[in-house]
Amino acid sequence: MSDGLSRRSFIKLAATASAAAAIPGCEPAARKLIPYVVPDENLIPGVPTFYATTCAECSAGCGVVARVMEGRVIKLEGNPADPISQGAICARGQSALQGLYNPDRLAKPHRRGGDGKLTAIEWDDAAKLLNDQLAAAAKAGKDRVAFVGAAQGPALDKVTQAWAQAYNSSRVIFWEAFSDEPARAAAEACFGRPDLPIYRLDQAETIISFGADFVETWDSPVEYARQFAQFRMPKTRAGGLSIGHAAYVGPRLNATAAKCDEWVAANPGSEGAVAMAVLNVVVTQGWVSQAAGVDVAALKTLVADYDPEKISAQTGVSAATITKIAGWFGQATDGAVALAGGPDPQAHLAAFILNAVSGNLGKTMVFLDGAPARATSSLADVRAVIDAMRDGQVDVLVIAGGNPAYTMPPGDAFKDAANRVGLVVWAGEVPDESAELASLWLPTHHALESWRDSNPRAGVYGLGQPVMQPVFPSRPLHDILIESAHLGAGTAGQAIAYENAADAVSTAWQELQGKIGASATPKQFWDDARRHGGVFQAAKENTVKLAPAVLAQKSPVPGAAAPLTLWAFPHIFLYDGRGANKPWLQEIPDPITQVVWDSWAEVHPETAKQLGLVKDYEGARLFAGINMVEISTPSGPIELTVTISPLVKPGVIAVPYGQGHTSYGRYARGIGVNPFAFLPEGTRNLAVNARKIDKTHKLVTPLGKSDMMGRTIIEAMSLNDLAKGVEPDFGEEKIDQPYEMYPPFVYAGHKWGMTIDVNSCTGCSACIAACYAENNIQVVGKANVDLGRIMSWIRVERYIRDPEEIKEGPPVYIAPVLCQQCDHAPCEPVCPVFASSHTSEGLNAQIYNRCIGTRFCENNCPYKVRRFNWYAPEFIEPLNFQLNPDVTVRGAGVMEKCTFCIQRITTAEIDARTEDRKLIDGEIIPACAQACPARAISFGDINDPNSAMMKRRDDNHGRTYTMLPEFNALPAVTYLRDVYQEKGKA
Amino acid sequence: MNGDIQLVGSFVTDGACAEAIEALHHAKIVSFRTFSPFPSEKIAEAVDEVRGWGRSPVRKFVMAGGFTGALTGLVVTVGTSWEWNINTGGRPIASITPYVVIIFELMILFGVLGAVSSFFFKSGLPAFEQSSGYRTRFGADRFGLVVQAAEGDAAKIEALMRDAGAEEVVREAA
Amino acid sequence: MAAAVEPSNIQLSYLDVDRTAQRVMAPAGLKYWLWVAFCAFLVALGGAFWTRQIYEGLGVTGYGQPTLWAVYITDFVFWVGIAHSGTLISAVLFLFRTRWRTAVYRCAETMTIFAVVTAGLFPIVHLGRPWFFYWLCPYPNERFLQPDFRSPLTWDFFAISTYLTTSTLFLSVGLIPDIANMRDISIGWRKKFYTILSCGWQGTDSQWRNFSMAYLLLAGFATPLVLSVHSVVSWDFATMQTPGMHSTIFAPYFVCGAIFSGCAMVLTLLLPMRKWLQIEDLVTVWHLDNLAKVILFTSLVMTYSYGTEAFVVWYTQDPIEIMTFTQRFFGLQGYLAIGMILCNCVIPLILFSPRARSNTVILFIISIFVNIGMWLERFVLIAGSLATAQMPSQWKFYVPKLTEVLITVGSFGWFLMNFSIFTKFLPIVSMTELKEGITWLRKAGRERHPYRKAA
Repeated sequence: MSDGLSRRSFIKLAATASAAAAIPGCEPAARKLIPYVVPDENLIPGVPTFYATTCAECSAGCGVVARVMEGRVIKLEGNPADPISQGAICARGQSALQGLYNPDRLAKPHRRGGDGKLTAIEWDDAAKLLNDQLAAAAKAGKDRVAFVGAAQGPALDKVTQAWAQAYNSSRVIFWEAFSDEPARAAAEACFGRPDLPIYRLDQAETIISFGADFVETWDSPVEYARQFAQFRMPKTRAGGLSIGHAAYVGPRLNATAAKCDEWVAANPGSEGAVAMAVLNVVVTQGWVSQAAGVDVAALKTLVADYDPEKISAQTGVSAATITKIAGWFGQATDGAVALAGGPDPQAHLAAFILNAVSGNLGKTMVFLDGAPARATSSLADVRAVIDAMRDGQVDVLVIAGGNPAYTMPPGDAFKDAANRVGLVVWAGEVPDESAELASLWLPTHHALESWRDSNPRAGVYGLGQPVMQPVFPSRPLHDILIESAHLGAGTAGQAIAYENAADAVSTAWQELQGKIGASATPKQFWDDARRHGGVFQAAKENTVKLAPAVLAQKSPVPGAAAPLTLWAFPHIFLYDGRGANKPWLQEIPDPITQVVWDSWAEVHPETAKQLGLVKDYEGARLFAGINMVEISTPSGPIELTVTISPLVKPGVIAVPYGQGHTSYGRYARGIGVNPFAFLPEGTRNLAVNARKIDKTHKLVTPLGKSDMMGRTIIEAMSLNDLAKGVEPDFGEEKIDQPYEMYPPFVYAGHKWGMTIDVNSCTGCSACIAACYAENNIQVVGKANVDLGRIMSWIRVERYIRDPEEIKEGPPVYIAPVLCQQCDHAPCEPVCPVFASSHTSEGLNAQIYNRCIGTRFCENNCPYKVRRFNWYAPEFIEPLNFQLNPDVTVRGAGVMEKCTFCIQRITTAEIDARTEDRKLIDGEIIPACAQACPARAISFGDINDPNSAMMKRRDDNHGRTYTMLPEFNALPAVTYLRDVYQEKGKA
Repeated sequence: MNGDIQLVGSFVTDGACAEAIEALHHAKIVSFRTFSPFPSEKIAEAVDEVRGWGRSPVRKFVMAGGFTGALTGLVVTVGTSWEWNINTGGRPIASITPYVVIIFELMILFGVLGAVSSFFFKSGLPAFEQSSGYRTRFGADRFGLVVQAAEGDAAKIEALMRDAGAEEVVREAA
Repeated sequence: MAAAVEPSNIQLSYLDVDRTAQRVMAPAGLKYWLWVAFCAFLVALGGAFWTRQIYEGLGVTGYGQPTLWAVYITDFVFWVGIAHSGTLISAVLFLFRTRWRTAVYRCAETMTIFAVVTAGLFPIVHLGRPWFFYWLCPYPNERFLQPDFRSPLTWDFFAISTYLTTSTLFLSVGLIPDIANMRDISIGWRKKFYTILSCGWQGTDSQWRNFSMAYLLLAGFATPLVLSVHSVVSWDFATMQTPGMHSTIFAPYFVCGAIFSGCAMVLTLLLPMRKWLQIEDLVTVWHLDNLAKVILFTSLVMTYSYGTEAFVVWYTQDPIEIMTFTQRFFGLQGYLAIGMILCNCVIPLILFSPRARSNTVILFIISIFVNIGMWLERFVLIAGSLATAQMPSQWKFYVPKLTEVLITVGSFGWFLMNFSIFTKFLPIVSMTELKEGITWLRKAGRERHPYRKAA
């Protein structure tokens, strides 16, 4: 399938190479919202052009392809050429568009008067104000200018450094809230090099994750979701058919844990201790590999204090569990890997040591040659700058990205410091909490509007090019910096080499060509880079050894856990809060709690009982929670609504990061709480006490009941059954072959169908975001979600297994549910006006113009996948610029639903016809399948037995099932069962 | 109608009116008509004896209407399905079973229309000039018998009617 | 109450019947017009909110997934149900030559017409794009498309329109002799009015002959029609795969429920009318007593149907069906189902006592309860079943908002307004038939069971 994708995309990309070369990325921004000032000859109305660029939403640095129509980017898709994303993309990546078209983006520079009021000013005045102050600061002495912002790739970060130099300062902070600092520190300690290894989960037999939610936010989720899916594929190993063993250690069962065999519910912050305990077992059992060549004696002393029995009190994990997962790890014949996330240094150390001593170094965990150096500043540097600011040693502070006022612990330290700075300049897109501190606001380009590069790992050099003219009259941050640096150079510091940001990037790439020694001409090299979105080559692997010193340094055994601990975790969509201003990310339900537009306090029923809370919303569960608790924190009490779920460790209150904005646009402001505000530096957990208060606040969710009630909706089967070829029995009515009352319809040409592998699906919801983007689906907001009016055509269904009822199976069932395109579609014959009818290609079509809104179809749909437009959709300008011109925006009063992206099907068919050829399998890919990082969804022609989709069914015939077969609706979507290991095995 | 005058007899009960009609029948006087405030079986029988009408022809129209309706229903449903053949839920293009409902309803509709139209048509409605001899009480609480007769027979007829129990008998020009 | 009028009733004559009918239709006083104005106000209120709903979209209601049908369809079924008893009394009882029918049938039939008119509004109110409702009607059109005759909603469209036409014609044919009578005794504009409506009816033997035949046949048609119409309405739900609806018992069950609620509504209308318009000597306790018996009987049948439904659910052993059923009674909105049982099965049992059957106050209260109960039944069946369908993840219970409530209230205003205006301008009791059966009327004045005495 991915072959088909790359084939198709490369045709497109090649076709648009010259367009890419001609795009005027760095001219002064047009003052209108017409993207092309001079329409270029490659612009054919209605025909998309594809520009390769890089995603700037997180540090993973996936390559993406921007789909541009009439000069407006309407969708982001994964770049098939990029080794990290390999054509997939996550929900956050998709939503970059809503950052680009965000209605709250700053349009003009503003300055804050003495009365604190903001007034719009011209660019020249803004630049003058900035440069004069900088010059003054530079004159006043060294290091009186500071920059705090997000890392923007090697080339631009160099510019920033140079700019600071120009004003003879070295105070440049690249701030990342969830930085990889702890990992790098551990790497330095263990292997004497500060760069990070890459992991090959797909080549492991066992994965143990110590707090690393690798399918959600950790490191590079798209890549690891893909690898993890391959890791979980049933394979034939020495011991017969098997799937990888995975365990997740952490206080909350998140999407990652949901896909693992074992959720090791450890006390918050004790992941490191658990890791050491695992190491202890590995060592004592003598599973240390000889090849690793480590000093076993030293190891023994290192882990002596971490005997599973002794430590279990502190970690809250039973010795048996630790022994079991240690067994998985130590006895893995095909290699194992330990991952560590979070700020706890001990976890990272232990994980590295585990990988090293088990001889997986260079197998599942690999250090590459020329890995990028740390992009973000160390905590020490950050502290230094904050202190300097507090002590009044900084005259000009430029904040550009990273939103330090919101994300920088502890508490208000940064705010207080910033208030003592003469001039605080904020440069960015949507004014956030940091902007509130600034007296000069400069609107800057979005990443998709500007030049940038990225180097997420050795051998992967991503090139970010502007894919459209700026939406607002903003300027690229680094153009501003370079301009002011030129002036500054005259007064104080040293000169800067570049004309502008574009120049900086291209120069950097000329250097790069020299470095990697590509043979092509510079022009050729540059164009290829822009065509493919960068240069991707295999990097040489380094062999590293575990430094003996690390075994000597003992870390103190953690104390006993507090009775009640607040534990904050990165929200899968909002991450550190940067996603909160994007309506899609607010409205897509969190895969586990299914809560939208809010932050919550997740507690175990036992803990809830102690707090005097009961699930008074049981029955048909209409919402996630309503009763509030008051939680005491160092910086005052906070109030949160409790959602009671068995998926969190007793004694823990799990709270997501990301909400609690006091600024940052209409979609983010005034929702929930911000854990950064009260959590101490360098930790995510906090001993608290909480009490029930008689306030109520509804946690809204589109999810009804969490209990599947023994219906065949999401099925899982044990590895044993799969190996034996036994069909699991769920007691439902079995229909061997489809029962036809009438002669069945024949679909002469194509008949579209889908295969969805529940075993691969991680619930990451990339498919939902892709569907929102592709099909112009409206966001309805919290109140309407509460009324059951969420519009997404595809949803991630989540059910919790009740261990009392169902003895074995995954703790949580997760699968995407979309229109099943039934042959016996129950929705069709009930429509009085043929608005819902079947196409000759087996699609269940919904004709909007014909629909009069009787809503009979959705009533009769067993899967409840149709969506009704209760209001006329509203796309606030310029969000409406993102609308896909190939898809109608539905009016009020009509029914809509998944179409298998019929616009893509038709386009491909027309292309095939004009080129007078047959459709190539994989040429048509619905948005959901295209985005899926785990490749769980495949689409194809049911009439073509050789299509990848049908092959996938055949290859996994033991796992195929259809939802609610007893209705004999004959869905075109076939699911592949989730597979779980039996209890007590291995 | 022969004769140049008419006698209007009004009766308190339909029974009396019916007797009068029979009496006139015996006397071979058949050119009369009756008015009554409600359908009286007695009068109807008496009149039937004289005129020898069968049951009302309305039935036939209703029959015709019903058939037309059913046929229309069949043609409309099956016809349109064939013309716009659209696959809905894998059902046959013309699925008769559900169409029976439509056919049935249309049969009723047309039948009813037949009944009402034929009723109006056969009873000479609407008619906006009053036929001579009608008294408003005939619509309320009296039964009227109007006989066309020659001047000569008038006395005999009046006598017959009064014997039958006519409340009053009025002579007037036809 | 009935006792008071007995003496006059003994000698009840044809003219008394006319006089009473005329008294009812005498030019109305302030009280009457205030009442009509009040109804009109309710209509305006409902209308205003409907306008808003059309303007802003259905979002102003409490609708949402998965209960995409709720109050509006409930109202639709409720009003159609009300309509049916009218036809039952006027047509079916006519065929059975039931004597007590004569006094009440005109009232019931009028109720039918306006109930159907009201019911007909609700599918349109319910639509997402109401301005396209006529797309359900087959006619050569620029869309080159006809309605799908497989859809129960299309059946509805045909059934309801046929039903409206039939009952309107049935009513007007029956009215003609009475109007002719009114024409003869009234003056001024009313005279003209009735002259036109009466079409020059005179009641000659030939006219009566055709009249009786036409009337008989109309009754003969109306009878199967009334059964079919509510069966069709019930199939809107029975044809759905939704658990709790997907049941073959629905047709008979709905028809019976319709008669049940309809007779209750007849009582609700008749009792105040009988008092305020002083027609106690035309509509006697004997008539009420018989109506009450019909209600009692149908109530028992309803109880049986509920039982059968429960049994069938248990018999299928289908977990989804069973879960839906338990949810209906013990779920979040179980109280509605309980209330329905109380109103439809328990309270009507009072009618076993003859004293209750002859006490107008008790009858009135019971009739109100039955109306509520039957409305609840439809709501529970529709909104309740949809709320707990196949996909547990999609369960959500429905709570109405102001818009639905006020539009429902408005529909009652609309119905009562039309009905009240009718009573003032057209005879609300059939003079012709009362005269025909006057002997029974006289007996009815004296003793409770004229039949027995007659036999």
